[in-house]
Amino acid sequence: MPNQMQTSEKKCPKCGEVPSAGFVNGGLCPRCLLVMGLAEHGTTPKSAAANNRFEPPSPSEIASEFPELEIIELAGRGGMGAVYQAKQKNLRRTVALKILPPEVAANPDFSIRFEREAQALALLNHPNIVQVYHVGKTDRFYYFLMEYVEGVNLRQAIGEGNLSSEEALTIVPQICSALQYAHNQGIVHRDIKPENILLDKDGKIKITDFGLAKMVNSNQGGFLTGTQQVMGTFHYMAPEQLQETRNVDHRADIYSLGVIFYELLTGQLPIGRFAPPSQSSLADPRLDHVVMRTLENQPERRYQAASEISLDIQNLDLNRTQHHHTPTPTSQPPNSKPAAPIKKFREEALQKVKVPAMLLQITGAIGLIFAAGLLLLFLLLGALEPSLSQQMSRTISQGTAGSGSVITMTADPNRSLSFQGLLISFATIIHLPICLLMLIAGAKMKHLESHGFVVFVAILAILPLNPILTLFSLVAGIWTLVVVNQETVQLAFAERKRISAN
Amino acid sequence: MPNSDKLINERFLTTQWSMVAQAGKQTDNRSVKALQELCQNYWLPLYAYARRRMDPEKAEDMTQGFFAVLLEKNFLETAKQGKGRFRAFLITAFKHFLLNQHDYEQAIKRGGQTKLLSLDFDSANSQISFQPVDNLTPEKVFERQWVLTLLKNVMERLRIHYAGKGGDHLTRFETLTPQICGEPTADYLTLSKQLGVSPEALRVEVHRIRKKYRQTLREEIASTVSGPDEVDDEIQRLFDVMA
Ligand SMILES: [Zn+2]
Repeated sequence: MPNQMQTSEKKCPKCGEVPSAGFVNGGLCPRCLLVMGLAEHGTTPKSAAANNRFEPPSPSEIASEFPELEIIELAGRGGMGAVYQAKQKNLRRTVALKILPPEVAANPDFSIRFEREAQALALLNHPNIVQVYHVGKTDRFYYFLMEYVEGVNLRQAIGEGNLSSEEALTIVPQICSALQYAHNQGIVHRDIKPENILLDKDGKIKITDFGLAKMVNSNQGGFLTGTQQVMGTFHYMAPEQLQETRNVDHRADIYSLGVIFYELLTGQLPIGRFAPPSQSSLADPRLDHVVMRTLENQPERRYQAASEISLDIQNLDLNRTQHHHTPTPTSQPPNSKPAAPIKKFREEALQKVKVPAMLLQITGAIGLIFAAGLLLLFLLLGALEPSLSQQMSRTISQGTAGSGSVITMTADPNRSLSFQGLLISFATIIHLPICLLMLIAGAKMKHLESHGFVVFVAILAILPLNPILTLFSLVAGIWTLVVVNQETVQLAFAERKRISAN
Repeated sequence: MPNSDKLINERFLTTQWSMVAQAGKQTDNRSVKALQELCQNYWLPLYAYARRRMDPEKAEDMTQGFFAVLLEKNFLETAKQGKGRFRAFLITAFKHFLLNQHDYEQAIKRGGQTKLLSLDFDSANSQISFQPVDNLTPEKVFERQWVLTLLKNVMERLRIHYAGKGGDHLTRFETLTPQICGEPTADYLTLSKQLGVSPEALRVEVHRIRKKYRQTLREEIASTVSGPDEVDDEIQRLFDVMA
């Protein structure tokens, strides 16, 4: 298709500008397309790349050190090394190769820690943990050979703004399950953050870099220093991790999980004096105490085990809203793979909202036609009026001569005039705006927008302000109120608001 | 895997312009071919520039004539003046050519017959519809058309890439094209239903397409500058052009 320059005022949904030279390929904004090509837009978040002084070698530069691998490409880099997508020549399987920055390995204690920890990591075997196949050292690098996960990390998923709160509730229990498993083996992650949580294409969570933080840092407190410290990471760290004197145990992971949980629900980090999730977002209030307990400053006051968190979530029975509209009434057996996030409720809400929204609009439209008719009537009467009064004054002047019946005639047009006035003021002051509001509310409702406004108009429609359309608007109003207050529909409205707020 | 294949192709692309520029005066076959390919991909912005300065018929003659000279003779000394970028070279050389029309009369006459490039002016005219009111300088028209042509070339390369993969790759690419920029209001649910995949798989797919897009764009730009390290700078300049 020719990329014609268009004169239309269509805005780019991403940057909000009207591209001066038109869109490319029908709808792509040239400026946004160019920005997407910048290196910093790459697979790693800007902050990680910017703060990282470790320049990952190119695949060809390290190829000679890994003769059994075919290094395909650099897949990502962060404060603690670089990850390459590679292929094991003998097994023909795709793997992830992680190499640690040489300055990490330069630390004299490192090799001892590496040897002590690495074997335990390779033994971790859990569906929600990235499997470590092999650990080792070449001339230049300490490395991990790991399961290759095709997908995005949680940071990218959050950034793309398409995670629903329902998805958050399928993600968190998976993290809990992985943490509980590792904690049982005596392994603490110490660096749980969205970048270390991968989301594969089945919606399954895979945690990576278990135990790496401890290995890399000689400091028992686990506080990352120097080049390894990636800006922003400390937001996910438990308070005791930031105090070098304290011992850190598995409860630090629980705190980090809490930060992620909070972020998933509210889109914000729990910094300073933060409100419970339901107050700063549309999260279910019943989740508040769960989230707040993972975020306790004192490890003793937190959940003591990751499994308790997922248990509490389960007990809240948040699925209740899902139950009465998922076709299978039986709940998930505990061992089955976690339910793929259901965004079905949006579609259902759209269905439910359709008819009452239409009714609102129809009522509004009929009302408007009515009001227009009344106005027209008034104008016609107004046009007739002068001749009418002329006639009357003539009759009156004649009447003074003899007949007395004229008095009744003069009274008549006066009364009809005031009746018109009443109709008009009714039509314009009350009827017209209500009808207009109903039209707008119907349109908003269809798209699951402006919940409060829709409720307000529905109530207006029910109030007996609108005698002409009483029956219609009563039905439309009540129906709207009933539908709009259903839990799933409310959720859908909230979701819609969240998406457009992003 | 077409990996080795891809790598060769990439290397060729990234060095395309630098190869031409270095070859300078002496012509070897590879650099002539590379230049030919570059011209084939980027003649349209030049024609848009000419259209802004002269009537369509003359613009056609001049464009044809210019490329005839460029590809037949060794116009490449000018490449050194262009310093670095193919974009800068092309416009500088063309201006030089227009200033010295009488020197090149022969070439302009022969331009119509030259078959070194296939220049489809009809399609070009439908693509460069600038408004008489927009008061853009010819240089600005050239630069903007350059960006649009570049992006179109990138999208075309992506299309070919996905078509080559077979199956429903092309369909999925075409459906997800609007997601390349990361449209914030994207309805992943509807999209995933449309494509018959889960929202998670869709997210991964979008991620992959973006990655491929980024890679292709950077390759394409790299083919027009003198080194890969100039790509980000060129992106910044092109971005400013579209302001
Ligand atoms: Zn844009």
